[in-house]
Amino acid sequence: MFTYRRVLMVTLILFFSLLVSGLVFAEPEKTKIREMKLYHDNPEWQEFWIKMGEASAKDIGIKAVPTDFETQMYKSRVKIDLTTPRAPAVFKWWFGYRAFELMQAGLLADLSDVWEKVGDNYPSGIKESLTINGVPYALPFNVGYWVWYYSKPVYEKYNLELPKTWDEFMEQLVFFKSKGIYGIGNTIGKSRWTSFIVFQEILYRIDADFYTRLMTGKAHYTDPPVVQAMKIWKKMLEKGYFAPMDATYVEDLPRMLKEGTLAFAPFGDWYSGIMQQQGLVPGEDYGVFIPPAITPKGEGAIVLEVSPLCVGKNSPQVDLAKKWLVWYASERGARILWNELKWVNTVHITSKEIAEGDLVLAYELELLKNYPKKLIRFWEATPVEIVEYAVDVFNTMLVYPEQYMDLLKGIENKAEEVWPKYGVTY
Amino acid sequence: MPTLLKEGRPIFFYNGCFYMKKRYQLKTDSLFLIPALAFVLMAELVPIVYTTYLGFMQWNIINPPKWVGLANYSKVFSTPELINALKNTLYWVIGTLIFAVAFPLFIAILINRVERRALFKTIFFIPSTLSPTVAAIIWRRMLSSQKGALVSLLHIFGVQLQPILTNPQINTFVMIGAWTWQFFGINLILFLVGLETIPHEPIEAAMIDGANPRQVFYYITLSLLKPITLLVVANALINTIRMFDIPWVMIQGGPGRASETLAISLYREAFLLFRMGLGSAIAVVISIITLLASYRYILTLRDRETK
Repeated sequence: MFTYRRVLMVTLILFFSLLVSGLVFAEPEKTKIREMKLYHDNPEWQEFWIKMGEASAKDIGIKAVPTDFETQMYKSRVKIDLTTPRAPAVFKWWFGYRAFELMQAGLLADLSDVWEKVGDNYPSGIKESLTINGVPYALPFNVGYWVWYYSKPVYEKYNLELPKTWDEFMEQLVFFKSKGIYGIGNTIGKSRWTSFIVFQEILYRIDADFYTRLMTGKAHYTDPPVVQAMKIWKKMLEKGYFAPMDATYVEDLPRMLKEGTLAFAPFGDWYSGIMQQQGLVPGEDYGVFIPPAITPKGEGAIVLEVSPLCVGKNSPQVDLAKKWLVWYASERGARILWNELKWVNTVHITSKEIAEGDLVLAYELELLKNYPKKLIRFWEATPVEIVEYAVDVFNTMLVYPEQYMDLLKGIENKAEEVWPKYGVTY
Repeated sequence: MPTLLKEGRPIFFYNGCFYMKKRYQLKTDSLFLIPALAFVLMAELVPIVYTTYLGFMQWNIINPPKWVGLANYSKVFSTPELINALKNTLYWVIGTLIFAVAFPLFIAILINRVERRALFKTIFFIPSTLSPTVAAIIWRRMLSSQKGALVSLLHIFGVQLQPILTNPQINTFVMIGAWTWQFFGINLILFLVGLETIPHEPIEAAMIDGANPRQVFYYITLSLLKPITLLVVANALINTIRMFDIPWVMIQGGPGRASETLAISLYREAFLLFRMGLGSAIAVVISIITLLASYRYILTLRDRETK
């Protein structure tokens, strides 16, 4: 007979046996890894981001899952997603006016708490460069300076020394032309944005303070320094100092530097990574150089580019993103950045390590000590509407340099239309 | 008499089959149409209405849209860059009609007389199997001043070519050439199919009546080819008015905005400069032009269906 007591006993025995067997045979619980959305627009660095994500998963249980987009598509995709809960937790952006519009629309998360924790890991001035109206909205992904890379084979072949004055620089361009070598690699094959580079590089070497005034709406595109810059550029174009315009800066220019058919390529120092990916050896195939100022007012200035990592305020993963950024700014994150891309953002990488790892970069950092005046790159320094318009105008300048004054008037008209929207009386 | 017919019942049984009363039949048929209608509504009507609505707004994606009336449409026809894009689109249309429609017709007539035309068909058709993007990449590489095949070939013969794609005076025409290369084969095949279906009797009758070859071609062959010609022309117009892939992949509508077509302007305004309103207005203009251009074809199709 089954009595109530017997049934209860059997049930209890069964329950405890199951419980014990469960405890004995159960697999140890794995650390739960949470995935975090990360967007960027550099397919060439996707591998780096994957490695970064795997390392953070191992260290703190947060795996950054990167998605790479083509730059043009990236801008619209990020803008659209940022207004929704699909917003990326972390995304690479451009600072200055390009981040300003996102900040104004309330789409960026305040990263003050992250900076409180990791502020000491960065050199002075970096936080300020990522701050709008007193609020830091980003951490640096790349802190780069705009320098000119030169072809070692060209300089070795002709036993040349780097020019020390602007006139010497121009003389060398004449010499390169006579030898059938392209002087400057500033082309628009597959990239329209690159057309602003020479304008920027000439203008601030004429007058660095004027450059800043122009970028902030306190000077005009028809003012004498801009006209002078355009005249110099026009002359250089007409003399044929430039590489063919349809060459691409990712594939063709590094090859030309290596082959010794191109002398200079002006870019941010992130370009070193691209050249190394193309098989160039720093110090052997290319070196770094900062052209001399054109007038005394242009001395001691250099263009700084800070690519920021921002956090989408509407993302459901804001907390996760902040924890991840604290890890990213740690020595572990900095070392991965250094090992993979040879970039130095934090104070963790010593000068000795830099000298051992990348001679050209070590030399560049040494050179930069003579350039205390840091200017913001044209791309971010002035309102997006002006930049996008000007970039197209500079494309036209490459084809029709004789129209430089009309082109400047066009940019001036655009600036007159745009600045009042930013509360600037122009 | 229906055996199970009762007052108020929609279905009845008669002579071994179930039937439905006519008024209920209509209602049921309409129900079956709902999924297809919903799809058309969602996939076509909603975007059309929304794009038209955006054409009257100023919107940069991140801030709320603002009503600006016809300002965007006025910009389409007054901004120099957009007028240039309209002009370039017109060049594309004319170029396509000459090189990708008239020329294949001419070649088709020649090939039609050849015994082994399958070989020619294959040769001409191969580029049509590529997507326009792939065709654009091939041509960009061929025309590149940096070890491009064409430039290297000419270099052997001592000819030094300046960069072609960054020369705004010629790049649109070069790109029309690339498009012709890609689009030529499909049109050729269509014309050949048309020519092969033309009966011999009217041609023979015309020749017996004393018509010369030119008259036979104009009054018999071309006339009987009219339906195919209409199809090819309409297809060419529709594809060319919204031309994007080739000029975008080859030189991004550049240098600057020199070789932009209307479709590239649309993309640039909407997704690079985030002027969604202006981009939408351009989209509406492109749609209207395409509709007008293919109007004759639509009419012919309707007439044929009526017959």
